[in-house]
Amino acid sequence: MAKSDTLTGITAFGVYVPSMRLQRKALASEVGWINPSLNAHSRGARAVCDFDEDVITMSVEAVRQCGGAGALDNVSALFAASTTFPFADRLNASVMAAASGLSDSILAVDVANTQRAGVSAFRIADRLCMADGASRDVLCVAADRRRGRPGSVVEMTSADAAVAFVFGRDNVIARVVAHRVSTVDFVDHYRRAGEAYDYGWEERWIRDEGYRKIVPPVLTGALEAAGVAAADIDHFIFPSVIRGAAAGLAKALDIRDDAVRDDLQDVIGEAGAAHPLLMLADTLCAAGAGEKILLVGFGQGCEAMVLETTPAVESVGDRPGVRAMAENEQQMDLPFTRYLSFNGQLEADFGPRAEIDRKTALSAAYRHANEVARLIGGKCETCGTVQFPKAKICVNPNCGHEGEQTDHALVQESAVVKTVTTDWLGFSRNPPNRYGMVEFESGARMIINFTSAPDEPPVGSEVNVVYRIQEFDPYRKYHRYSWKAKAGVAPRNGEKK
Amino acid sequence: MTSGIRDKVAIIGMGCSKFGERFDCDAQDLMLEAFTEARADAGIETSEIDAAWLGHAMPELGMGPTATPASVALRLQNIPVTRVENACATGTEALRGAVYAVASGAARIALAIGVEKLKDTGFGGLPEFNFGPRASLFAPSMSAPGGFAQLAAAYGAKHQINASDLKRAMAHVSWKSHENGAINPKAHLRRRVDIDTIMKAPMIAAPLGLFDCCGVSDGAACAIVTTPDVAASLGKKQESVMVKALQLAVSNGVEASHSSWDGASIITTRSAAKRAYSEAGIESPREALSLIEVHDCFSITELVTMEDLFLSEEGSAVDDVLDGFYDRDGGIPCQIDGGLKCFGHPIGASGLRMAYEVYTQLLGRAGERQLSNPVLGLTHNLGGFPHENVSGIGIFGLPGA
Repeated sequence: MAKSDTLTGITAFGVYVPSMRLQRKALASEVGWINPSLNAHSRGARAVCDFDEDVITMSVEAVRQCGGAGALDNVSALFAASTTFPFADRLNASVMAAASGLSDSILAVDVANTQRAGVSAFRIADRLCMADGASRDVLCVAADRRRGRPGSVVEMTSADAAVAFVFGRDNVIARVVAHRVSTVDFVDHYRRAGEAYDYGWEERWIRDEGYRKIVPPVLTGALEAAGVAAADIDHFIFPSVIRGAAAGLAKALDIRDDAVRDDLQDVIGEAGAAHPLLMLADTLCAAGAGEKILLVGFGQGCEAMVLETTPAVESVGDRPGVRAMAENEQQMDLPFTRYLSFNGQLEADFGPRAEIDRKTALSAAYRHANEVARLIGGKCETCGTVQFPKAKICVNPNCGHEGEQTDHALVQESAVVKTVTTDWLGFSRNPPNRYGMVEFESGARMIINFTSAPDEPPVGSEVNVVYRIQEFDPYRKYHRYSWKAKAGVAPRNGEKK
Repeated sequence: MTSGIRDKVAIIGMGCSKFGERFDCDAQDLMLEAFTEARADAGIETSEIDAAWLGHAMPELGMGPTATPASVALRLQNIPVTRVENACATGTEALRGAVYAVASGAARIALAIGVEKLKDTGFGGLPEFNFGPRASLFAPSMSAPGGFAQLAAAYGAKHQINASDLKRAMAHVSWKSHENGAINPKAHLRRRVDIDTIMKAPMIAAPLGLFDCCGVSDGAACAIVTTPDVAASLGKKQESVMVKALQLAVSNGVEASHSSWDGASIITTRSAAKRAYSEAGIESPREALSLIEVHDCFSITELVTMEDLFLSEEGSAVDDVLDGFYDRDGGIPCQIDGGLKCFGHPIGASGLRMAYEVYTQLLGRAGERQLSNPVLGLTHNLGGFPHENVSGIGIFGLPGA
């Protein structure tokens, strides 16, 4: 094994899997008439976005799972990867950065347009951290929310999920010891700009001409560079929805059968560009010290890395990884017609109340970016009352101090429900609309939407804020993001369950 | 120390259109209907009106901005006409303008008219309010019932009242208003509804079902006011009603942003009520008031308002309601005309419609629903949401009351 030339590596990671599930058996019963071969995929469940989630919101939640307050203070760059970014020209990573509480002075980059984008972003983040002498942390996040036509394999097998990695110098869990890449215009599938769906080629051709011919030289090169024999690889990460593809490659390369990582297909499905990294997060939850991981991203060629874990990897066992996230008690089955409607695949009649104009004043949104994107309220310098929104005259009736208030971020605080209702009248893309007043630990309060829960949270119960799409503007195609509340969010990374 | 409005202004004429789905009318037609009645009641000519206040809350659905449409529709004589808007408390705001104009001596006779034309939306219920570009950045898009339904959750939690007991008391509130509306020829909803139907109605915003929500109506109401001396000179001394108090209280953000509010009451109603009782010289409102017209936009609002007006003890509104204290034959008849619930709720008109009923009752003109010998009545007009609102309270009495 080649000695790593730096001390940098993965110092933290976070995973986000939405609560919503499409049970494949139910899905097959809805669309099996279109394509009976889909029944072959009808095991397990898909993780899917709620109506107010997308690549940006999932990415923010994955980043939040990387650690509590202060964990991201030293981040100097964010690389965000996806093939389904909501914006084609607006830096998606900048939306994520603000919501994640990152400073304005970071570098933010979107890495897109191929299934291997996640692995590329991961590699770039690792290299940048190393090149920087590890004086600053670098963040990489990958998420995808692929959509297929009803009756397609993509619809049956895809997952919506996100994963984030922090690269730094302290408490490194695993480090990259070798990397190899090839770029080949191999079109197993493609999606033209502006189109909703992929067009794909025959699986047998992808397997035989793509996986079997393009991948092996890259993997062999990476193993040689790392000085690791294929048989010594402990974890082989090669996502593919083609049955047996990873095992076939492993066999051809002399990688042990038991090193082939489960592709999480039964648990959540395949999360596009995020999937190799989700499998890596899953691996790190199970790996022991000194184990060797071969990570592969396939798409217009192949990118591969050999990683080695450190003793610090033992400490990640208590963290909520992919499986813990996927199997937590908050899973909710999403009925098929709701799923279709969320994705614009079913034109539901929401009535005339849906006609109201949801235009976002971009100037006002920018002016209030702190409160909207970062959920920052104000703390009165005189009486200490924390209030939302931040005010120029203190709201405390016994104070009334006039002047600037100190920023007070509410994102990390839990809150208690003070009032609540379930509203069937007002327009929502996911009726009924639930909202109420919540009060944060610091005493700040706001009226907020409750989301991703089967019922309204009772008065007195605890909720946490989650970053979501607040409003869709169907005329101008703008998504406005803000914070909503969700009952009983899974424990944060680094906290004991 | 302010001296207050008590007995400085007399109402000499009032009018109210039939409320309802007036698909055949524009807002202008509704105003003229109310105005014609009031002018005849006062026995004056249009040319005698020195100033007017128009209450119109949703101009984008009605007549557009400014007071011009009222001046045109009523052919006012190039007098000052001011349009006011304070959400659902707009009607009381219009009355306040006219009353203060007369009290100040700036006008000899003034008109307050409120109107709303809501049934040109193409759907049931109120349209969503637009709170401007800032609030909508993070606030949920709340419907009116959704805003007020939250009172029920907080009230139930505060007083440890289980959901089904609270729902039953809320049902009684609506049942009583339907009983009253049934005998009011100008009311929008005139059908009696039994408690069971109310309890089982489809949910609008939990726990508010269909019958917990007031009607959305077209309508107009107006008042002609002057000084007691002018009233006497017009021969209206025995046929006028005195303004005893007119108070307004507006939220300052405490409910929305400070932990002192428990979500189970309307703070502004309490402020306005204290000042109104003081202005009217009322020490014990539960004993003094003959009738009340409150802002029952939703059943839970009326229930909570009974405590906010200091008529029911804290936490005991459910008992008073179920005991029938606010029924037609109870201690203080509430919504004797059917209230917002059944008379209807054309937003800008509602505060004036409440005053119209008190006026009608005090003058003994209420026909089948006439109470015996009422002397003092209260109106309570609420605009906005529980966490941020405008509360307007009027107290009206017979001369000498």
